[in-house]
Amino acid sequence: MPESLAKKAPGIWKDLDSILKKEQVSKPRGAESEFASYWISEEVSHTRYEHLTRALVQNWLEIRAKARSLPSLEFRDDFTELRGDADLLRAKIEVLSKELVSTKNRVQELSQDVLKLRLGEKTEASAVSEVCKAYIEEVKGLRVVREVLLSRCEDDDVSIIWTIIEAPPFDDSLRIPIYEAQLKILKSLKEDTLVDFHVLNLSELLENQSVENIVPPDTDMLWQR
Amino acid sequence: MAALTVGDTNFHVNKAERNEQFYQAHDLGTSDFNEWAIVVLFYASMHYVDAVLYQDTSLPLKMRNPKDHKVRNIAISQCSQLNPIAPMYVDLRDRCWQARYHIISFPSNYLAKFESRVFKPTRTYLRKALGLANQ
Repeated sequence: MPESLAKKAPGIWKDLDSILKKEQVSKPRGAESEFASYWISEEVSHTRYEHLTRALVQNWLEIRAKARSLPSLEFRDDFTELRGDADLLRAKIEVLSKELVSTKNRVQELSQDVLKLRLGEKTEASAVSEVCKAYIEEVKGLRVVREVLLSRCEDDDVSIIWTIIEAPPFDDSLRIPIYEAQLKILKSLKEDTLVDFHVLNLSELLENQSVENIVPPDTDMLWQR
Repeated sequence: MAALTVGDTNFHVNKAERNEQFYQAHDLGTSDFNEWAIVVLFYASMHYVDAVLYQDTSLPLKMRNPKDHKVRNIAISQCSQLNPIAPMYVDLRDRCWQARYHIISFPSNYLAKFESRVFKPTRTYLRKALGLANQ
């Protein structure tokens, strides 16, 4: 055995030697032995291993024949399939890249919309604030008016101005100047500034009622006599 | 009966008159449930008002056919034909809101006073504006 092989795979050669000694088979001949002789002559001293068993050689030949007879298309199919998978993945990546760009653009658009909405809210809040100031100017001279409050109804997207009065109960004539002031304010409103009004007469509340029970909890006091 | 299209003048006049018929059919003017009498009077007035608004072609379409009370109030403030009765209409609306949410019932003598001082002048004016006879 060449030294290089003995170093590389000492265990295999040792096992092979022992098998051959036990089997004591005759030397293979003819075409069947061609491969074994070639294989042996390339790597080791042929004098020592030329009596490899016929069965062993036969096995090698059968394996080689099977390998050669495998249809080359089978391998090509694998390649084609792999190449197809790769193409599919490449196409998917392209689609994802486009979606990513589109999503990025959409996010930028939405960010701009949010900024506009915030600006709009500020504009609306400022518009409502102007309406309240104007209304207070109109009603603070009416002696029955005690307070002006402001609440926000999120469901209807509307601001409600509450006028709290202290007047003889169920005398509607005292309310008319307040309603006239409300109509004057409404007339000056832009269509998209939604403001609503309610009047509460302290003298008409039930014993267990209070303004705080009627107006929403987040109501702000705008003016008080 | 004239052909009715939801939202047009005939429709609103028809609704207003049916509300009045309901008021009379159930004697709400003398009923203990005077809070509901106020509610019915308000809705009769509201439909007369809507009939007038529908006829006012100077208003934007959104205001000629108001979708809610907030838009209607703005429309009323901008409809010159409604100016004379607008504060009384707002009073009717406020009392209707009070009747539904914040009062058990009105004092016994209140309804007759309210009907004669607020509702009837409003109704008379609106029917005249619509070219309808006042009975």
